[in-house]
Amino acid sequence: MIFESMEQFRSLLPEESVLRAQENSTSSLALDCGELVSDDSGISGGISASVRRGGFLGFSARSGFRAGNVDAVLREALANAGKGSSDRIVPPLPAIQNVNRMEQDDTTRAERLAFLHALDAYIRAHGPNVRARYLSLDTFATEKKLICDNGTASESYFIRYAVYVSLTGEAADGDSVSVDMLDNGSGSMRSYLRGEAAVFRKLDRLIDALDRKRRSVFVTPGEKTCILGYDPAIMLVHEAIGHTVEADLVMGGSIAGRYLGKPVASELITLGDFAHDMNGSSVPQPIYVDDEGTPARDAMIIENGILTGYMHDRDSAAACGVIPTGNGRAFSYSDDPLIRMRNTAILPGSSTFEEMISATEAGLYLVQAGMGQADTTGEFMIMIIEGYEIKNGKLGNAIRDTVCSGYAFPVMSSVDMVGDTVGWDIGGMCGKGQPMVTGGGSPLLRCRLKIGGN
Amino acid sequence: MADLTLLQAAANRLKELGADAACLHQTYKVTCCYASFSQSRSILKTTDSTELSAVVQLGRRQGKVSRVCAEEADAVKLADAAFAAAQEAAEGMSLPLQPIEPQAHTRGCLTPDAALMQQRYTDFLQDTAEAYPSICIRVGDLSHIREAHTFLDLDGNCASDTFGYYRFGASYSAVGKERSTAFMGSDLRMNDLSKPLFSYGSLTEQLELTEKLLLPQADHKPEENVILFPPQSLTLLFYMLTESQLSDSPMQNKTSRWSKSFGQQVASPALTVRNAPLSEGILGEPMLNDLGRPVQNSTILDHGVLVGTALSPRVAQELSLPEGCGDYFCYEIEAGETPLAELLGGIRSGLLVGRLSGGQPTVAGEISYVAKGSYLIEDGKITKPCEGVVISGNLIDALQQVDGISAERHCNGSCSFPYLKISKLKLS
Repeated sequence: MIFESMEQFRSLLPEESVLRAQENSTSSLALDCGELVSDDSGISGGISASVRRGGFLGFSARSGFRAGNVDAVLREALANAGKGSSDRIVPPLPAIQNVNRMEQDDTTRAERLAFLHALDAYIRAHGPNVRARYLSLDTFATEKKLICDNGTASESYFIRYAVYVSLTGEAADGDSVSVDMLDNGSGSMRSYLRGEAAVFRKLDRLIDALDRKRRSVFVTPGEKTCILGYDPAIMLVHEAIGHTVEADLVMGGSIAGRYLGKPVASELITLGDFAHDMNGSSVPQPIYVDDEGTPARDAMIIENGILTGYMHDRDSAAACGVIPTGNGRAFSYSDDPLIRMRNTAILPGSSTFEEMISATEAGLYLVQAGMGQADTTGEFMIMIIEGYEIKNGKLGNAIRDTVCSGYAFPVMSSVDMVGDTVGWDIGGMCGKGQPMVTGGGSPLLRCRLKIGGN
Repeated sequence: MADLTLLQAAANRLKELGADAACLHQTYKVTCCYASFSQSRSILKTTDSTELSAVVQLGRRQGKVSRVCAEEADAVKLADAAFAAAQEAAEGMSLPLQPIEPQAHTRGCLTPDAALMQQRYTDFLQDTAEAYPSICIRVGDLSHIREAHTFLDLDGNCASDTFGYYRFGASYSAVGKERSTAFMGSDLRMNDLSKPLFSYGSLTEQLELTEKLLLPQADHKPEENVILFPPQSLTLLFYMLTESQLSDSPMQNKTSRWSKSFGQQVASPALTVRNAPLSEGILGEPMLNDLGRPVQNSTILDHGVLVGTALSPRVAQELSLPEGCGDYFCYEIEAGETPLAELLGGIRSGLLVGRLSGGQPTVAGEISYVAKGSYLIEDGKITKPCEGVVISGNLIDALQQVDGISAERHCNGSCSFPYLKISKLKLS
């Protein structure tokens, strides 16, 4: 059980130190064709300390919440800090006190399992062409309490849920074809479970998507005008832009390091990594203080097409002579904070979905992404597992699995229509040495993309 | 002798509660790590953790829970939670627990030489800066990891596996005046640090290839669809192939191409593929699985014949097929007879892949990958960097005709692969 208060340890803190207690809880249920195949839960937690000596950090962590271990991790972190050297001067932080707790989830395992079975039964009843169905429901919660030697104290509790549904059917040529969806959000699952009807509507759409994919056509390779749906657009934002503007990767040679102050996207694009709200609306994962004790603020990355900044932790900000944005985040108690995204999103434009389709003579509407990857050159590839042809301003045949690829900045420069609604996603886990829950958001985007074909 | 205090407390509680059987697993892990992030910061990090997991059997029901545990009271809470989970669980989700076979293993380097670690890592950074001035290390770390796994059942049978090893990992790109390259990576596991990191040929070879990516790019793609896959590009490919074709869901629902092909010739007779955590040279992999049972190597393709799976024990029993070897990532392909130079020399126009960027093959075996850090091969020689090439096609079909497997094989401590030459995929 995590400590009730961290203040009892404040007198132990050496200069330039952070003490963090953190507990992560997970639960996972999965049904494969109605059969329960996964039913796990876990709690992992402990305490960590970091002591800074310029740009060199000593870090130490131990599992569990024994008060006696606090002194041990602080002493070990201090000793580790003494084994390195760095000339960098990292400016001190202002002290901040913050409590940021989401409502705790009160749904039981039995309720969640019953919900999953209800979804499965619905698919069985309404999807005659579904040959295989896989459903899972995962929750992840993290509670953190942090104090710094400068007087900062922060406490947060965050929880997210993710419902994944994958349906497989048989195409006319005998091949298996699949579609999937990841429905997710943050906060207690209670209201989500009450909104069962809305989930059934999404299942109707998914069953229809599978039926259309059974009659799908192979897409011809080449550069095409594409309307990126929320899912692939968010993946583009995260993988191809978000990572390239994390300041540690900028200092490691990412493409974004060459373009500060220069145009990198269409004037229609404004993109930021938002700390706790966006345009006055809440974001999926509000963060007020990061895991280095830095007060979190928005990192505006692209404003009207111009690259204006990066995401920073204390070290990168000191190296670049800017104010840290509060992007230093650690996944578990035993992880040291790295520069990670929080709620990275493109602001909405003015086009409706109907306007975007009707304005497209020939192209593709790419709805659902599979896996996606990008690297620091901005080159990306995104698997597309649900998409449709657009012909003469109308949606046409479903397409078979394909891949879209390109370079982030040229692709973003080709955007000529931006949807009027932002879709958010907080269902995945970003990997950068440590996993991390990150929020992503985007409106629909019309752009030019290379389509791999088959 | 492993400390059984926490496990014993959990076992006693489960006996009080009336559990039929249980497998209690304690993981004690200690790490020491020197790491650096670009030019941003450096860190010396030490961690120490104890985690317990319990699988509890009640009739045909099983509950599974894991928790960090610092003291006996935590272990008792874990036992209570696992017992409750077993009461709620569905019947028959897992096979009945078997008694633990008493055994004890101790392997590798259990105590790190922290001073030598710091020296080796600092030398690596200096050696790289001198030999490959364009290389920018994005993230690098040299760690020592010690894990002790202890298992206990309700009859007091105990098994343990303790091992330690060093691990070096780095991700880097070459940064030139005009542009930077895609990032590439190196990953090594070692039993000792007797040799400088720079003496590992696979590391310096990769650094050199990465730096040369800054040379002028090829202005055309290969004229032929011939692809030479080097060892480091194959791990992900074979792991994802196995998961997409041979794991529980596609096999049970018969949706994957290989789901109906057990015992049949599905790939080139030259291809023998194993998931082999017990092979010589593999470090840092437990010899006991999550239930304290001995891990076995699993042959997946034997001269192209499908003989293995990635199935869980329960589904394997249901389908009367061999089970996979669990959550291991230790793939190996048997070496061929053709020297690499000869394999390369026979390619008139092709692509040497650096790294594959992309996802899991579909259940039909279709793939689309972007080839990163790749080179054009012309008249048997590696000539110019070649970016933006997409590899697509059907991997299941492509493996039916492997054109060549090198006699040389690289083992990085977790996987062991030769070079593979394949010409049945499409480059675009």
